[in-house]
Amino acid sequence: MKPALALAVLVALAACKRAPEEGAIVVPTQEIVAGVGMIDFTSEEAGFSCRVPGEWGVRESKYLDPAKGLSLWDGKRTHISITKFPEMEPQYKDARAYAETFWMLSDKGQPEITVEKIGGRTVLRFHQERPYYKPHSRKLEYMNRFDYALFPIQGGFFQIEHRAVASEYKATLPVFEAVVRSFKPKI
Amino acid sequence: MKPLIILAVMLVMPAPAAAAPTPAAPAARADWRRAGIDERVKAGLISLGWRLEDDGRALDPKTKAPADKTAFDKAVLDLRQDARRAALESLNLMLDPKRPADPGDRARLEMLAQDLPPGLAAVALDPKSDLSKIRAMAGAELDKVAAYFDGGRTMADRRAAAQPVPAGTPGPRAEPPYYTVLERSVGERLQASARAEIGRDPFGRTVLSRLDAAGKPDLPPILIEDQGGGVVARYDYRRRAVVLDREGLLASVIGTVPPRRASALRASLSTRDALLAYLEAHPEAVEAVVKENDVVLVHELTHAWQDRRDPVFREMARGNIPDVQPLEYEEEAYKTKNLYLRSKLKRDPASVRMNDDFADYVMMTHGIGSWRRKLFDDIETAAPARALTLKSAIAVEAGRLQRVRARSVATGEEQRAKALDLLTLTRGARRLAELETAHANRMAALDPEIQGATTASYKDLGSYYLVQASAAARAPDRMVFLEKAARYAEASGDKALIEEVRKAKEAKE
Repeated sequence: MKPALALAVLVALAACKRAPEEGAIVVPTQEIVAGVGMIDFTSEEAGFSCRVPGEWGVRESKYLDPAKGLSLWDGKRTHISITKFPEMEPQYKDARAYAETFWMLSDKGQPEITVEKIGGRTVLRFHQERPYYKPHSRKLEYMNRFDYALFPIQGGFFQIEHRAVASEYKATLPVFEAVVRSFKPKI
Repeated sequence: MKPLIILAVMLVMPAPAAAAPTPAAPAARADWRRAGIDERVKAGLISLGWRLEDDGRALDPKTKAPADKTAFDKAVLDLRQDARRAALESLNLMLDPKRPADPGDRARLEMLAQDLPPGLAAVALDPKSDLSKIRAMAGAELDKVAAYFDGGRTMADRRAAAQPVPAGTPGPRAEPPYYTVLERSVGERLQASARAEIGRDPFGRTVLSRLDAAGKPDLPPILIEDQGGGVVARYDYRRRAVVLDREGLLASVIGTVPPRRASALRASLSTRDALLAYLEAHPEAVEAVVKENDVVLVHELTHAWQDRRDPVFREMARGNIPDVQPLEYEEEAYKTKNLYLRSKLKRDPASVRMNDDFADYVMMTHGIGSWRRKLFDDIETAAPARALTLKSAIAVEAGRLQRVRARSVATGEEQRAKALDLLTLTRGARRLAELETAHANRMAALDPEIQGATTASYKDLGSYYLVQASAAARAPDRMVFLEKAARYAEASGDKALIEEVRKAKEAKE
């Protein structure tokens, strides 16, 4: 099933009803995490499967080639994305080397990288806060918190990123964790 | 008696007193403060070239004179109808059966609701509503808006819009944007200062040369206006001008005096005229404004280049293409300003401000794919009805074409009007499609250039942080900058820089 199609089914536009003839396919909710229904999701193009928040939308499908991954958002200020490297950024092929570049993005230095075994793979974990400015503006709106899990695969890695307002991130962190725990690269 | 003679007789005959026509009352002068317009309408009018004076007068962009109430109300209504059309067309894109459902649409809809007809907004936001019903309502409302704009266009307007504008010429736009001699003078000082500042940099010279006319850089007019929403600057294609935000610019001006004088200066520059007069009298303040905003100016000058290079803004100004903010144009402008910043880092690191532009450059250097995704996402969130990919703009244009095709005609005049509308919209769609292809080719050439220079960028960033460390007033800042300098030096592999940073660290310890 194509990623867009799988997600299209769950909720219609702004929760409005899409008529059945418009291709709605019901995908069952597998569990509820932090009040969010999680569904099973497979991307043939990028080569992974995992649970994703079914009520979230494919925020940037038009900006992200499905072969490079998937990006979801909750309709407000929280995003979860799954991206494949080096397809996403050709210069990054090694998960640890990539993780060790995040000092560039903050004045707080290199975030601490921890290691965790998930599904038999050695997953790198870290988080970071960064300021958010609206485009064309110099006004600091708020701080964003980014949580990362990097899954090494042959010749590259997958990155799962959780982006949320720093003061609100705990509300959706369990959803991100559910995505990470269920993540299975096909390679 | 022939009609003309009757008319002549009537004109020369004294009319009976009882039938004397009452002289037409002078049209009431518009007072924008009493018109109940919100900030968005205010910003929209300003972007159309209107000048809203502190005393309530609304100066007409064409005549530069105070407008009467009828003309002002018409401009406000046009603006509201245009906003409604943009909101309806965005809604239509969301309603496309082929498009995946997106819960983010709820947030978008809430933002668009203020411009939608209330009945439709309520139905669209009701989770129980059926999409086919919303689609039908949106279609009917779009027909009404189209009829409003169609009704206001004469055959002459249509013929003018159908006439292709030769490449390299601006086509019909708003009148020259300056209202006063002082405003023009300050604008020209800003232009001259921008030419000098940006021209110091090799890549900056490339940016300027793109705007050459008769062998000389021909920068667009630069205006100072209230922008709202924290926006620092923008390119206004209707006036072919760069607009700098008054408040943002004021901060740069205040920064030119010692802190003890800052409050008094700010208080004395509370009006736009006072600020213009100060800039006219203080070249050092003009220079400070440009130095503080040169990177932003390069971004806006890139939009000016796009305007001269491609026919898209030209067609947009004539209503032949939807008034959208193409995300691809933003991508190019953001990349260009970042290439300028990179060049400055290499040439003169001390001149680079550590602000949001710098953070954006670092983000792009770290990974251009992620940077682009975030850029599009953020711009679309900030302007849901206007920020569209070219693909979406093409879909909107296709919708307009379809509406015209479906328009029934009863007279030869209506038939001709329809033919002209089809001609202009078809050309608009072709222009957008051509730009989509051209943009993809441009980015395919530009991206490897950005990505291929990553190691060199690290070296420049290392040198930059070293300069920042030596200039830092506070010890903790110095430590952070030295640490960054060391990491970038290491990442670049440049032995001389590594050694330089090591020595700087030793000296500080």
